[in-house]
This record gives sequence, C-alpha cells and structure tokens, in this order.
Amino acid sequence: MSKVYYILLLFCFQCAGAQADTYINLLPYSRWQYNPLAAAASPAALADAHKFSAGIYGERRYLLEELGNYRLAIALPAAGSCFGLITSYAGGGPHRNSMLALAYARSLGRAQVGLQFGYHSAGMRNYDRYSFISTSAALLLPLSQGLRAGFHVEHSAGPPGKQPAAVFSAGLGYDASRQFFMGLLISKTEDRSVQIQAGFEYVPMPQLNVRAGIDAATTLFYFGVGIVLQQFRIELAAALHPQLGTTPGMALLYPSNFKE
Amino acid sequence: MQLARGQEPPIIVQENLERVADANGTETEKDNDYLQQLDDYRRHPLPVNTASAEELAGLHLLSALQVGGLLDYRRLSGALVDLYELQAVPGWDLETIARAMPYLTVAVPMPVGRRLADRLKGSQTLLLRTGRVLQEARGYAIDSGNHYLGSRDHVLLSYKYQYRNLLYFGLTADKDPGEQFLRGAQSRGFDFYSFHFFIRNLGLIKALAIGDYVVNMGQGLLYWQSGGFGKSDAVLAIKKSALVLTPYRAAGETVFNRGLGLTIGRGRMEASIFGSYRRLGASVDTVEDRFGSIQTSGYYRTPGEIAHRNLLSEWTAGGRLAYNSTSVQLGLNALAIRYGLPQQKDAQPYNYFAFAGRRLTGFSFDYSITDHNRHWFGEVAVDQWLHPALLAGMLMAMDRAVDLSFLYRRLPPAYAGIGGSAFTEATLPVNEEGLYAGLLFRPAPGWQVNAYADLYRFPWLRYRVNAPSTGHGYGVQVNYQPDKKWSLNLRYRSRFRQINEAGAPVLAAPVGTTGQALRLQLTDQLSPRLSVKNRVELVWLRDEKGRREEGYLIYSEVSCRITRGLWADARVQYTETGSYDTRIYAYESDVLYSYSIPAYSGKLYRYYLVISKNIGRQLALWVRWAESVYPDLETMGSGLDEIAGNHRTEVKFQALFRF
Repeated sequence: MSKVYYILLLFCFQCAGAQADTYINLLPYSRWQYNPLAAAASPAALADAHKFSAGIYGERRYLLEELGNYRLAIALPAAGSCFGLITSYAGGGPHRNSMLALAYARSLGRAQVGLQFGYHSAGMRNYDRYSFISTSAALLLPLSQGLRAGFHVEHSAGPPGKQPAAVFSAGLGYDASRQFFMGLLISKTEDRSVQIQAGFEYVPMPQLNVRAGIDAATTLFYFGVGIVLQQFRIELAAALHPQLGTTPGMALLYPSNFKE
Repeated sequence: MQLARGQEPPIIVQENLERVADANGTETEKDNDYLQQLDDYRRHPLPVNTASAEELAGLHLLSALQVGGLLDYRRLSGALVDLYELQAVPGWDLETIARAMPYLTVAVPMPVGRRLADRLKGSQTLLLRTGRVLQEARGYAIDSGNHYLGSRDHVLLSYKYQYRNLLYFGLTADKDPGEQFLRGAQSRGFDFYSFHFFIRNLGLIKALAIGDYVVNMGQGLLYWQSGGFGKSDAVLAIKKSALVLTPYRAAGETVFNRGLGLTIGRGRMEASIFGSYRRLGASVDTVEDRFGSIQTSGYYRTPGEIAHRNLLSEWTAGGRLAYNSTSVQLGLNALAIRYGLPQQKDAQPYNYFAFAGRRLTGFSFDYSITDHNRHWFGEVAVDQWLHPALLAGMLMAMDRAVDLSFLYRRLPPAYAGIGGSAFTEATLPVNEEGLYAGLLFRPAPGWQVNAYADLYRFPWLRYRVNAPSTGHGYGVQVNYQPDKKWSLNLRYRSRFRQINEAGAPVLAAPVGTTGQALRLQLTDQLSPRLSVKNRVELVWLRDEKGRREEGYLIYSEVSCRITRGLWADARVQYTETGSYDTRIYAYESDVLYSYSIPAYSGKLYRYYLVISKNIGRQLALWVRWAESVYPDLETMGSGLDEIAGNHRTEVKFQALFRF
C-alpha cells in the first residue's frame, strides 16, 4: 500500500482572530473531510490528498473593507513527497499583511508530520513596514479508523516587539462515518487565554456538505455550506460575533472529489 | 536484557509521582529507591506463585483487591502455569496485566538450601552520576558571608550487590551542588554516605537489616518511611502496603533509619523489631537548649546550613507483632523516638498542638480483612497522651466492571503523628478529618473511568491558614487503551481549599480557592523503535476575592531506538502560567534510577534530550541535557540560586557498570 504523503498547504497568517474560516482548524483531525485549505491549521493535514488540488478563499470580516482576508493554496504531489505553496493577503486600506509559505510533509508509519516556512510582510503604508519568518511543525496521529489526534506549533522570528506570538494547538477529531465528523481543538496563543473550539461537519449527500461550530474564546459561532459544481466545490461560510457582527466568506476548491 | 534501557515507569506511576511532588512542593529527584525497586523487579521478576501480599503491593501497580484476588486464585486453583493465566484472576483486567507483566514471573524459586550458596552469585553494579547547571548562580559568585562553599557539581557514587530480593548490600555516597568535597565540613569526601546490608527469607529470619533501612507499619498513622503515593487518580490505591523492613538505597539523606532491624516469622506469626541512631541537622536554639525543626533538605552548602549539621541526636526503636493468613492480617505496632534536645516549635497559633518535648511513644493496631469481594483495612493509633487517631477503609468489587473504595480518617490536632505518612491531604497524619470515595468503572474493553470525591476538614489552624478550614477535591479520569500501541487519557480535577490571603490581618478569615485542572495525554507506539507522548494541560484558579489565574502546558516527547543499544528521548515543551499558584508538574525522563518532576510556572520553553548507550554487555552510559528558557525574565531564581539571564541549562552524565 502506497504511503500517503501530505501535501502541505499551510496558511501561516496571523489572523486578527478566528473568523469564517475557523472551521478549517478542525479539518486536519478528520480523515474524510479534507479540503486543501485545511492545512492552514496543521502542516500535516493533507492525509487524503492523492492528486493536485487547489483552493482559494476570501472573506470580509465584519463587513469591513479594511479587514479583508484572501488566501490561495496549491498542492503539488511529487515523487516520494509533497510540496505545498500558499499565499495570503489580508488588510485593506493603509494596513496590509501578506504571506508566502512553502511546506513539506510526509508520513512516518502511522504518524504524519509536516513542516512549513513562511515569509511575511506587514505594515502600514507611509508609516512602518516589517517582515518576519514563521516556522510551523505538526504531528497527526490516526489512532483508529475514526479517531485522530494532532499537535501543532507555530513560531515566528522577527523584529523585537513586532513578531507575532507563538501558537500551540492540540486537537482531537472523530469521524463517525464518511458523512459525519466532529472535532475539538485547544489552542494557546502566547500571552492570551486558551481557546477552545468545537464543531461538526455533515455530508448528507456527495454534492452537499454543511458545518457549524463555536469558538469559545471569542464567543464566535460559525456555519457553512458547500455544493459541488462539476469539477469544483463552492463553499459559503459565515461567522457571527455577538458584538462585532457578521463575517461572510467564500471558497472555491478544486477538484470537488479530492477526498477520494 | 538491555542495560541502558530501564523500563520507564507506567503512566499511573508517573502520575502518582507528580502527585507526590505537587503535595510536597518539591522535585523528588533524589528519592529514587522506588525506581530502583521497580528496575530490580524488571531484572528479577517477582515469582507470582509465591510472592506475598506485601511484595505484590510493593510494586505500586496493583490494588489490594487485585492482590487479594491473586492470592485467592492461587489458593483455589493452584500455581499459575503462564502469566497469561492472570486473565482468569478476578479483578485483573488486560491493562493491569500489561502493566504488571514485566515485573512478574511464573518461574519456581529455588529451594532454601540452595539459596545460601547462590546468594553470593548475584550481580554487582557500580554507578557514577554527575551533573551541573551550566549557568553560575549567585551563591557561587560571592566568596564571603552566606554563599556556596563547594563546586556546582552534583556527584553520586554507588556500589550495590544484589541477589534477587534475597540479599542486598551496598554503599552510596552523594555530594549536592554547592557542597564541598574533601575539605571543610566534607573533609571525608562526600557529604552523605549510606551503607546497607539486607537479607531476606533465611529460615526463621524473614528480614535482617544492618545499616540503613526503612520501616513501614500499618497504614502509616504511626510510622511509615517508604515513598507513599497518597491520594491519586488510582482510586483503588488507597491502602498502604509494603514490607515492614526494606533496605534503603537512595540518596535522599532524610527518611530512613540507621541501625538494626529484624523480622522473624513462623507459620502465620511474624515479629519485627528495629533500632536506629542518627545525627540530624536541626535549627537549635543554644540559649533555650531546644530545637525547632529538623533539616530535611540534606543540603550543607553554606556556612549557615553547615552550622546546623549533626546537632540533634535521634534514637528510634519499635516493633511489630503480626498475624498473617490468606484473608486476615492483624498487627500490633509500637514506636519510641527520643531526641537529644526537646523540640519546641515557634509560638504560633497553628503550632498550639504541635509535638513538643524529647520523647514520643506511640502504639497502633492495624487490620486488613478480605471477605469475598470486599477488603476492609484500617489502623487505630494512640500517642503517649492517649490521643487516638483512626483510619478505616474498604475496597469492594461490585462486579467485573465496577470497583468502589471508601476511606475515613479522623486525626485530631493533638495526635503526635510525626513519624507517620498516611492517606491524608496534609503531609503528616494530624489535624484532619475526611471521607474519601472512589469509583473504578470499566464500561467496555479498553475503557476505564476513575472518579473520586474527597471531603475533609482541618479542625485546627495550619501553616498559612489562620482558622479551622474545610476543603474538598473531585476528579474524573477516563483512560482508553484499545491495544498495546496507543492510549488516550483525559483527566479533570477540582480542588477547593482555604488559605490566608497574602498580606491580610491575622484575624482575617482564610480565603477559599478553587483550582481546576484538565489534562489530555496521548501515548502512541508508532513502531517497535519509535514512540511519542503528548500532553496538553490547562489549569484555572479562582478565589473568593475574585482573583483569577490560568495555566497551560503542552509538550511532545519522542522516544527512539536509533540503533541496537542506542536510545534517545527528546521533549519540547511550552508552559505559561499566571504565577506559582497555577504551577504544573510534569514527569520527565531522566537517566536510569533518576527522575525529575519540576514545577513549571511563569512562561517558559523547555527542552531536554536523553541519550543512552550500551557499551558491550556490562557498561551503559547516559547523557542528559535540559534547558529552560524564560523569555520574559532577566534573572531566574532567587537568593543564592539566582541566575543572571533567562535560561538555565542542566547537563547530567551517568555510567553504570554491571559485573
């Protein structure tokens, strides 16, 4: 049986907070709910990627132009290993934050490990600009047919006082079947409170998937729905914050059957 | 058998050791006698068909019900033919069998007549361990006043001879960092020397100890010196059980006897007697001619510490008369301690009932009775002033899936239990009354749920608690181990206690504080050569004054057999806690016979690497490098242990020669 190599598409972007794409944090812990953008949460997340895949995502947080968030991820299987390329852009107006990351992943028997390096550029136009390098390492452990656990560390090095905080995550996911998944994630950002996230994903039919969840730290509820259109999958996402409002998002993924 | 790769203690033992460290507030690195015993049993497994209840319980891996179940099985069904037959023993689930199997054997022990000659054909080991912190602490940089007189190196040298569990003798020498060597107060070389000679099962003589040894009697109300695990998530491990006399082979420098001990037995009767004389370090008031407290750290590094050295004489004597049958054990215990000077603690309200004087005498009666699926145990003790102390417990196997445990203790403030170590919230078995209940549930194969509740009160004041107080603790632990390859452990604990608010007036009521902890641990044997262990732990602290704190720990550890005879263990860890009050303890891999359980607090990154290597069949080497980095600090530690900078690196080297 051929080894499953991971196509690592790591989204290494320091978000202002969990948003409509919060659901991707749980997807690495599912064997069946893989989607190219899911590697943003764990470099070792693409266990089921057997072929070229790509995804593009965009959202406008709280409907504010200045808080746009866009991401492109591409997975490239290569002989004996897999590489990933991901780029992102966030901000709008004078503030901008962009990232370009390269990742690599493979399996070690039952475990899967991944490593990612990213270059970030951020700043305020006509005021300040700085850059930093981020590194990320992750481990995924398929424990049984449906149970999967994982650990992820993300660390950045940059100008003193401007480098983003390190993030440490541990997650647990359970695939009750190909149609239903639920997951739990505990993450700790340096100097911030612990964040706990839980959610589920349901696929009533191959052409449709729905999801919902909650991020306890930010009291954020998210939900989404995806449909298949020929070779593509279109996913619509939204997040609701009780004070700050709604964040709509949309993703376009190729191919639609990358889980096969 | 690979010399360099000692069996890492089972997870339940690691958790118990963390619990001990948390309760005592210290890293218990030096008290490594239990790990030595465990390694001894790994090399010379306990004969499961002839081992006594105390020997089986001494593994600290089996509950009293499981031990009783095995004894009953042996009595009814005869000797076990194979260890897999343990599956037929009531109360022995697959997890217990897998945990205990490395330390058991069905091999038949040799006849007594052959043992005498063969006892001289045992194994000898010579161990050298040394280590130091690479950064120089302030105590080493100054050369006047209160400062460390010796070098920063810790050195342990140990020679041991052992033939199974029948004959031990050896010598241990230990120098702590900061202590001198071959000069000053340590002009004879090392600061601490220990000698032991111990023989077991020689006709009428069940045990003979000459030199350093430990004594354990009853349930610890009167006298108990072996490392006790106390309250833990192993809800059935509420009964203390150990051999009355065991050799002392550690370098702890404190909890042991020095003299002679003897146990003789015939049939079901057994009698033990022991005597000890030691010189202890103590804080002595030369004007009042009394002492306040006994020095327990074993450190004699500074002029101030050296001034307290060997100032106090201690005579200890005692005995035990026991009746042992398969289902009933009864014991009468007596203890007498005499100090060279009277003890008189500081005149604080919480010391009102503290032991004072030179002489302590105590008696106790202990029992344990197995009645079908129930096991009753307990102890009643009195001191010379006839203050009674009571401890009573019960273990019950409801059915194959459910076990219950209960323990009640009533220990009045005036009871002088200075030699005891029992199943209590406090360190000593005094000033406490409480009820503990535990449940062990096995809902399905591979699953185990432990739950406990403990309600207690302290009738009198305590250190940092200016009023009688109450407390309670709850815990639930779910273990899932579907096969030998991986296991998942989820644990939640909550504890409420009352303590003085910092800076509050003396008459202010103590403040209730609730601490909660949630831990998720995953262990996975990925391949025969590679295993990983991961843990995430969260703690929360809330008090009645509104103070809130959080703590977090995450680590990932990899153990790898690189080549035949070469192993490596590596861990990376991140911890962030609000303060020392939300500290988190975590067991760390170390060189053989050693372990460390640091208390992590503040924000730090921690890494360590342990490499072990066999050199031929007789020599093994270990190297350990550990570093803590505190990104937000400019100095670490305090007082003489203050280190400039924000990182602390410790290196350790060990060589073991077996011949």
